[in-house]
Amino acid sequence: MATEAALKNDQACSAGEEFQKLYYESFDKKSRSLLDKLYMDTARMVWNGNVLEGSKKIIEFLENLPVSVHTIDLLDCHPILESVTNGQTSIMVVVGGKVKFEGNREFPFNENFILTSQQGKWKIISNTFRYFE
Amino acid sequence: MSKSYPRGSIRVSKSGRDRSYYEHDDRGSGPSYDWGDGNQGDRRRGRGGRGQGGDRRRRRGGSSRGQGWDRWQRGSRKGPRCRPSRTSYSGPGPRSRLYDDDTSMAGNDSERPRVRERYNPYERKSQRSSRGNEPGGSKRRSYPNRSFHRNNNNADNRDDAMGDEPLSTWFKVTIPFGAKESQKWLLQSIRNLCTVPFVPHNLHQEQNATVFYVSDSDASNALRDVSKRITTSKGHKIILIVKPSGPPKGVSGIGQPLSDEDKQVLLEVMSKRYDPSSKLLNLSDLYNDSDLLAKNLKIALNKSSSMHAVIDIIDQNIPEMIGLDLSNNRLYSLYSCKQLREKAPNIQSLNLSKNSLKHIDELKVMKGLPLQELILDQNPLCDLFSNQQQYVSAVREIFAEVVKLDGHDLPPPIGFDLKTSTALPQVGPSFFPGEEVKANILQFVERYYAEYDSPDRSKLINVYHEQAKFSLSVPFTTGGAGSWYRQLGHHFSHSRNMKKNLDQNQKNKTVKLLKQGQLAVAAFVNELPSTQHDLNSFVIDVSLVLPGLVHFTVNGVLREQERTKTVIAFSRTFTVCPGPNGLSVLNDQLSLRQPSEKQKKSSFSTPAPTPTHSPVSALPTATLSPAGPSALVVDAVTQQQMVQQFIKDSGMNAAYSQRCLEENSWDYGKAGEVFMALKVSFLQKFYFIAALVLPKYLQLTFIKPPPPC
Repeated sequence: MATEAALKNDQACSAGEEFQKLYYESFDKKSRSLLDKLYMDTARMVWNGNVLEGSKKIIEFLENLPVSVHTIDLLDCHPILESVTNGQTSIMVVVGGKVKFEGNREFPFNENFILTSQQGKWKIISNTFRYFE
Repeated sequence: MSKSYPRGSIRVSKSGRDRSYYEHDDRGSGPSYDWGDGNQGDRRRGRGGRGQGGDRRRRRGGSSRGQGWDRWQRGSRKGPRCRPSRTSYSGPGPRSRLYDDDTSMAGNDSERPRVRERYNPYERKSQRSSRGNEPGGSKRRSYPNRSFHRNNNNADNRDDAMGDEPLSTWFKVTIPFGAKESQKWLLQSIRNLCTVPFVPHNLHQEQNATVFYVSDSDASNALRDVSKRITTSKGHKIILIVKPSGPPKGVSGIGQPLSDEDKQVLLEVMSKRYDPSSKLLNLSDLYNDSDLLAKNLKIALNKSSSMHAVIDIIDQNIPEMIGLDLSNNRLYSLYSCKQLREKAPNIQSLNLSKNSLKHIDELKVMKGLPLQELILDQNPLCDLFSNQQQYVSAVREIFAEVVKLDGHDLPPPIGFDLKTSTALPQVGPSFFPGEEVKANILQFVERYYAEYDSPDRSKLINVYHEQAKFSLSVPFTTGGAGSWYRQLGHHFSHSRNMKKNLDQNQKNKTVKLLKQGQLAVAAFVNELPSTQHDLNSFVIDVSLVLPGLVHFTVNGVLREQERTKTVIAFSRTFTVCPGPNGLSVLNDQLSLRQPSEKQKKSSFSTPAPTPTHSPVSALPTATLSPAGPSALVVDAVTQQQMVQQFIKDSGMNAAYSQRCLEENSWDYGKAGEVFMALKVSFLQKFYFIAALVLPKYLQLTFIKPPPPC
């Protein structure tokens, strides 16, 4: 039991680490349309209090944001108990840092994701973002 | 190097930096420029950097010099004027040794150039030399006699002028090849010989030379005396070149910090100069403000201490300001205005005319301000542009939205429609996907933080699921922000931050910092430092609601009991599921972070009533309350009835109820609203929340009326 928990813990951390790199690299440097594949069709994003339902709307919204540079200085990941997710392996990824959108000041931000495995791939089911002016 | 130059070049160099000098120099044996510079050989022109205000101003000349210069100088320096008399140049340079046998004038000449060049390319002289620019002029120079006479006159002129020409308060001390010795040894050796104690500012290396600055003219003279008196272990003599200079970078024109009293006076003056209807602050020629002069207070805005005081006042009182007039303040650098961008981000109109800004790049520190109108008239930087077009585009490069420059309308900027929008979507309030969720989550959060902020968190164990997980993270920073995070040092060992550059071993340890299981989590949470959370700062986003799972984030600020001055921003991510006693926490992740300026500023401030006199005041407080005209005059009996009713309705005790009513001018409805708004339901249960939400009400128990005199 204990080893299983430890395994889940390790899995969450390595997945979160990889995810964080992939997500922000695509966001800042590559094309944000690539992120499309990371979101579930029914994903929900709450961006500074603005709600976006579905991956299409999320990507459309993200693509309209000014050019960005994220500086990540915090990453933490939890496995989520499977009994409450209908047996689906899910993790919570918490990210923090500073973000500079072109033409704006740099803001500290917090962002978190719930990822859930779908046919062997991690998909974002929920995403919350807040920055502080 | 000086020996090889013909005598003539000294004379030529006297004419300063006019063009004629260079023209003649072409046929000379070398860059006689070095002559003027003493034996150091660094070109003053290229150096100098920013912030050498006085020096540049003088070089510039121009009409604003006369009286204005004098005033500025009075403000900028303390203590008696001191100028290097001829005798004070104790160590006659190598040149003067050469010319000592020459006429006495020549001896002076050899010393003069550095003084003169530094301080006074006199107007009269430059006129003369510009005349020398004419074809005939160059010939005349070759007649030694005539030149001699001219020198003679110049010497006289110079002396006249010198009488009014004081020294800069900063001196740059250059030690050629100083880098070969340790700075510690150098300073110690200098201190041993120097008769005047001195403070070396901004000690650093410039290539091979060691350089520092002193701000005291006595020390500078004493330091000159030290030159060539120190011998290194290898038998070299240490040379100290002491030259007047502008303030060193970073220490630029610091000035004395203002006392609180002075700040109060400044605040009053600024409020007089602020027009709330148009949101314009006029600080033009602040130095000569009659009110300031009446108080014998001299605020020179080109001192960073003054500018910082001004910006602090703006920050605390009028951050909404949209127009700022800084004209006629002898600003030579805008470096100290750097904070304006953050503290007064709405400035659309900026007047910097009649200052001494030398380069358009000075404005870059304010880049980001939404400037639409800018006045730069009568700054030396304007002369650097050969045509209007260049000028406009240089300004637009920094402030793209400027449509009015120096009072002239500019054509609106035309950009490319290639996603140039930098506007961000508006920031919304907390998000809840439905009223029911909102009610549940709010109730949970309120209860949770009430317990969390109480002295004993042991009850929280019931909130956690038996397989709950908790972790705490502190950002991994390098560089400047690191110093702030030192305050969170007590959390570092528990910080489960995978962003650190860790080797595999450390990583494994970090991963294991996750607290798992109800007991482990509750025990750890209980051990965390006591906190106060600012409930007003909370922003809650609920992003996932599934039948058995809700995921939400709480952002806000907190203070730790031990270090109440430090405001910490936090973000807490919960996943909860329905449990036997309401919601049960599965995952709980707490991140701590340095707050943004805005978070820091608005934290732990309540919409509390304005201060009133002590509660025992016999006067009805209604007259002192902000409600003013609408205040009711309520007699004592009615007051008591209202208090009784308020006790019933609010559940607060008599003292708090009375206080609340008093501060709301005995307007029962209003008092009720205030009460609700401040979530006083916490008040009696939890002292901590009371302390942060309602400091005013608590004063009741501490404030005593002042003793009668």
